[in-house]
Parts: sequence; C-alpha cells; structure tokens
Amino acid sequence: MAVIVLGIAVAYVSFLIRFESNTSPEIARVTADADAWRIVLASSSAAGPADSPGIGSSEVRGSSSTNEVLPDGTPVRIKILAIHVNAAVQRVALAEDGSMGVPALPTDVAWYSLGPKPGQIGSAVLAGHVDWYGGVTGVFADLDTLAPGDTVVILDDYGSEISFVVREVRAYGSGDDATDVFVSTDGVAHLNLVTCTGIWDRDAGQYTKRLVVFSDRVTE
Amino acid sequence: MRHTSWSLARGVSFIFVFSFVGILGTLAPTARAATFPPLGAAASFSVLANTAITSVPTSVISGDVGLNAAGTNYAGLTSAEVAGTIYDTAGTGPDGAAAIISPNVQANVLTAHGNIMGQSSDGSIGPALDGLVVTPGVYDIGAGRLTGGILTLDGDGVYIFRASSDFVTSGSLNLINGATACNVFWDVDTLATINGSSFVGTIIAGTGIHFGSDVSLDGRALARGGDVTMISDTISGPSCAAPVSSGGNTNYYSGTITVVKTIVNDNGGNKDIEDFSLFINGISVVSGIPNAYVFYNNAIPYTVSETADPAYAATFSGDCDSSGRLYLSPAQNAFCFITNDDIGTPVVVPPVPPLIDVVKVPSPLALPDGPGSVKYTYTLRNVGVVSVADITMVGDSCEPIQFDSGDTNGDNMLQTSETWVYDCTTTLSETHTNTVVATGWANGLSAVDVASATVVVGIPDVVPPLIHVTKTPSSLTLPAGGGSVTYTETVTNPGIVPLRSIVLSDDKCGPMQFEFGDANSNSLLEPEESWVYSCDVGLLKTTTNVASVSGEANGYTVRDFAMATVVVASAVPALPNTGVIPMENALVAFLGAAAGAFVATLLIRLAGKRRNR
Repeated sequence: MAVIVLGIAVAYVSFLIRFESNTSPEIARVTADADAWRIVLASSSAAGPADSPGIGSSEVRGSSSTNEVLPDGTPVRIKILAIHVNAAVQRVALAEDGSMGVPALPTDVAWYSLGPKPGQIGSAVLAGHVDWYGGVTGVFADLDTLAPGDTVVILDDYGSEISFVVREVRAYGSGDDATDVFVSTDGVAHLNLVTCTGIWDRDAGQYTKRLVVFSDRVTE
Repeated sequence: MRHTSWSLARGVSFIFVFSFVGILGTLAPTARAATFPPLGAAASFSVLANTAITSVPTSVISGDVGLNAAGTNYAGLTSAEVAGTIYDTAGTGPDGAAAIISPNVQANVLTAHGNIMGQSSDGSIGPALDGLVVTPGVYDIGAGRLTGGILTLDGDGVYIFRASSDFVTSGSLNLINGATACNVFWDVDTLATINGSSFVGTIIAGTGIHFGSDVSLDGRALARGGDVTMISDTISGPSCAAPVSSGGNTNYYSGTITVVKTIVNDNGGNKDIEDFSLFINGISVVSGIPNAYVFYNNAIPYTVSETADPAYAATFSGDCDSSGRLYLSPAQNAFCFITNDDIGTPVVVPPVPPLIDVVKVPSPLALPDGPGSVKYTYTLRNVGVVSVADITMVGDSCEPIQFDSGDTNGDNMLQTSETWVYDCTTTLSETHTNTVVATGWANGLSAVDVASATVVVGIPDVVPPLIHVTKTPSSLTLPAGGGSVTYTETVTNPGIVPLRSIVLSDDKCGPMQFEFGDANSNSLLEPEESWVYSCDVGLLKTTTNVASVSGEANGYTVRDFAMATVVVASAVPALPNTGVIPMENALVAFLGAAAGAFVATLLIRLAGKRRNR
C-alpha cells in the first residue's frame, strides 16, 4: 500500500515537472497582461508577414481605392458567449515538430501569427487546449458544443471588436492535411478555432483528432 | 491624363519602339486619338477563351493560354503546343499541367474592351476593308469583312478597329511606315473568324475567335466570351518591331542586351547565380554585363536562354517575352531578367527576401566640347526589411567601381539604415549609356537593381535626362494561399532636366494607379518631385515582378527598372497538439506502473533472500 501511495506522489511530482517545462516562470508571470505577452513572444517568434514593419505603410493603404478598411490590429482577447469563453490571446508560430504552436497555459488561446490576423482576408487560426495536466479543464473544452450561428468575437489591440459567426464544425485526424483550415481564397475573412478531440493515443502522446470550428466575419 | 500608365506584360519593347521614334524625331503629328488599351495581366496571353479551346493539331502558341473554365474543356490542345503557361480555373490543363487562372486576366480584358469602346471614333469605314489605307486611329467597321484583300496600316501609332457585330477575314494586313503589330487592336462584338494565311493584332471578341487552318497571327486572340478554335495555326507576338521594308534596310544599328539573373531559394534550394549558364542566341554571356550587338534587321529576335535546371522554374521578364525573346531597337540598352525559383520542399515559414535600390548619376551629364572625364556616383540603399549581404556592383565601360562610404557598422552588410556610395571615373570619347547591376543576398534569395545613365559627348546644349524607379511591396512574405499585395512605385528624376511622357508599367500588376507627386501639376517630372504610383495584385505563389519606367527629354528616352520578390509560403503547419493525457488514463497508467514497481521490488527481495542463503 505504501508503494501505491508513493507511486501517486511520484506521478504528482512528474505532473509538476512537465508543467514547469511548458511554462517558464517569467512567461507565466506576464500572461495576465495580454499586451505584455505579445511583447515577450514577439522577440522569439519568426517574423511573419504580419510582423514586417516599415514598407507599405497605412498611409499608402489609405490612399488606394480600397473601399473597406480592413482591420489591422493584433488579437488580444477572444469572447465566445455560447461556451462562456473570455480569454487572452497569445501569439504563436510553429512548434518544434512543424505543427502550429499552442498556448502555454490552459486558460489562454493562441493565434497563429504566420497567417492572417482575425478580420483580414483569409483564414486566421486560433487554438486552445481541451484539457490540461492535473485534470484541469482547457479553455476550449466545450468547443464541440458550438453550432452554426454562434458568435465569436475578437478584441484587437486597437480596441476594435470583430465578430464572426460559426459556419461549420468539423473533425480532422491529427495528421490530416490542414490546408482548408489555414488557407481560403474566397476573398472573405475567416476565423477558425482548433482544439483536440477524439481519444488519447498513448503511443503518439496526443489525441487522435482535432476539432475545427469554421467561422466567417460578420459584415454590416 | 498625361500620367499615363499601364501594365503590359511585355510592353517594354512596345514602349521602346516609341522611344526610338522619339529619338529620331520622326513621330508624325497626328490628330488621331487612339490610345493603347490597358491589357493588364492579359498581355502575356496568346489565347484566352471563356468556355473552351479547340485545337486541331498542331498549333504553335508562343505566349500563355488561358481558359476561364475547368480543365476539361480542351479539345485537341496539348501543352506541347504552348510555349507559355496554360491557365484554367481548376489548374489541371489539357494534360494535367496548368496553373490556376487569376480572375484579373478576364477582368483586364473586359477593362481593355471598355477602354476601347470608350475611345472616341475617328470615323466609320468598311464594312469591306479590302484595299483601304488607314493611319493610326479608332475606326468603326460595322460587320467588318476583309475578303482576300489587303488592309494597309500606314504610320506609327495605335490602330483600333471596332466591329459592331461579327468580323470575318480571309485577307491580310500590310504594315508600313512604323505601324507595328503590338499597336493593332480588333474589338469584335460577337464572333471573329480569322482565315487566310496571316493576320495582325490583338483580337478581343465577344463570343469567340475561330481560326481557319494554317493562319499565322502576330498578335493575341482574347475571347471575352465563347471559345477559341484553331487548326494548325501559329499564334505569336504581337511583335513590336516595324517590319523591314521590301526595299531592304541597309542601315546598321547598334544596341546592347544585358541578362540579369535573380535567384529565389524559398524552398530549400541553394543554387547561386554562377550555377546557371546564360546564353544569347546560343553564345555564353555573363549576368549583369551588357553585350553589344550590331544589326540591320530588327525584326529578327534575339533569344536569351539558360541551361535549364529541373529543380528551378525560370521566368523571363524585362524586355524579354515569356520565352526569352526580345527585339532590339536601334540604340536600345535592353534588359532581360531571368528569375529562377527553386522547386523544392514546401515551406511553412517563408524566408524574407532582400530588396535593394541603386541610383547612378554621372558628373557632368554632358561633355559638349568633346571627349573628357566623367565620374559616376552610385547610391545603393536597402529598401527592404532584412540586412543584405554579398553585395556586388557590376558595371560596364567603367572600372573599378570603388566603394566610398556607408557601411557605418563595418559588417559588410547593407542595413536598412545604411546608404552605400560608390564611384567610378572614366574618359568618354562619344555619347555613351552605361549601366550598373547591383546584386545582394539575404535568406537564400537575391535582390537585384539596375541603373542606366547616358552622357552626351560633343553635342552643344543638350543635357540628357535621368530617371529612377523604386518599388516596395506592402508585404515581402505571405502565408500559404497567398493574398493581396500593394506595390508602391516611386518615380524620381535624379537629373536636372524635367521629364515628360512618364510611362510606368509592371509586368505582373495592373492597372498602375497614379497617386500623387506632380506638385505643380504640369505633367513634367521635375528633379525635386517624386511621383508615387500604386498597384494592387493578388499573389498565389512566390512572385518576382519587374516595374519599368520611361520618360523623355531633349530628344532622349530614358528608362529604369525595379524588381521585387514577394515570397508566398507553400505549406501550412500541422494542426496544433492542444491536449494532454487525460486524468483517468493517467491514473490507470500510473497505477499500472506502481503495480509493476511493486512486483519488481518483491522479485529483488526474493533474489536477495536467495543470495543470503
């Protein structure tokens, strides 16, 4: 019996160690402030198109014949009333295995910063955890209950709210081609939310499926 | 609207025919108002159809072929008949190899059609066109017919023929006194039927273009609606060189061709400029060095080629057409740009390409008293976002090009904050145009810019002009799937003479929109002015495009080019791993492990007891 108790204790310690390896203390410290988050990560992530400064400034944009002014802000919060989500948005690029990066905390949502910003033409992709170490529930645990017609709202760093309406909820295999999730060529702004689903694959160390919620920007 | 600009895939040679005439001062004054309709992205197409393309083998098509339908509507056509690229809405082509056609192409044809219909008429002729001689202008030809006879186009300028219903020809065209195929347009309301042995011009037809057998078209067949049918026809051009007169032209001309190579290693490739062998008419040439030619028949094209590498896709631009051909005009300093983009591993994170800009100013601009010394000053800037390494400056007829200043941190890399200055001094004995090609590298991609400057020797009171164009894209990289890019193109005058007739085009973006900069609204580009243009385009894949600008002053036409590469990611990441081992599974796992440990401990104890015995 003593050995079983010891085993559980070891398991708990190993949870803590894994937790620590995923979230360094300094990052965890600044997560409360979404903007600070962005600054911390910006220095470590690869420069994507959204990061390229300088050329093609907004003045040039403004003087062109484009009628609709597209949002240029970086996402800082996501609100999904239907599943009681109101979470900070971090910026991520790629994980070491070439998959999209994930948020460092179960409470946060990650924006794929190598793709379009939410509200821009194309498919912006956000991901959140379904669960977490120690039985903690992830921010997107209830994502599978979203249904077409539900609203997702992004707050950007200019204070603008950009609304999207859910079009489709679809499951993908963990290794499926995700072109449909990251790429759209219909000239419309999309927001696609991703989390894990399916069953836990012990060999692969991950869930067998991904749940993707496709949503479209609401335009007046 | 004297800030005329248009996008024309291979329009540079067209521009230069004008400039050649301008230099010689033979541009006949004309009251005709016909202007060149903007073809935009459609300019590189030899054949464009809306519903189907039919070819009874074997046709020869030198430019691009576009079908605004899925790739099942090709009858008889094979990609072997097409020297350019085949585009359709599905990207499948007649035999599985095609690109996806941009909606811009059809839109640009509609724009050109609208432009043509909006031009004021210079008169109604025909409908029988046989035997007529016309000068440049806009002509309404009703249900035009050329029935075995000859229509003569007399003089340099734009010819537009508008058929209010269909158009049928079995005759031919005779182009004299500077009329060129690339300036001839046929806008047909319904069906164009092209028989006979030859025809000339860009045909834009409402319900289809049907060729008889063995027709040779020096032009384009662009159907706004309907199909294009061919029976072993040849569709090439449109050539912008004036046909040689039947009496034979015995005047010899000279000109230069500079081949400039750009490398885009955005998919793991590692080739360098020297890894590609370059040729003009089969003779080996070096990137960046002008090659002088003496010729008398400018209707014969020069062909630029390279040793093809299957791991790289090559694209020709500048004064070359898409197959590397160019027509050299007298005194022209032609540039043929070859971009090699590696075909390799799809990448999720696009490398940021470099972007540089070089200006060259001679001092003095003129040596009116005859031969003398000239100092060229070269100013090199980084107009991109990444530091540029391995800078080379290759010039002709002036050596050495000496680095003066600008590498403020001494790291041999051109930072965005730095301006590098070079100079070179030489003695000129006759009027000379000298070029420089600047090349630099970052993240496996090369950036290139060229600058030309003419110094007039021995002619009193003539100061040649200088012109300069800088181009920056709104984004140097795009995620997979591509997106919209705005190119901002700034035209300046580094000389001292105001420039007129500024024409700016971009081979892969149109229309070019003039934004601002003509401060005194006199339509002349003064040395202190910067004229800013912009152009929006949707890019689906990594694209290097070339802007070319020309302007005139004091009898000289001057040109400059600007190149920019935008890298589009070719892959998307895998979906994120957003879960951890669930609690219940974890408990089972750890209980299992604990049980295992318990058994192991028992065994060890057991073994220990055995040893103790």
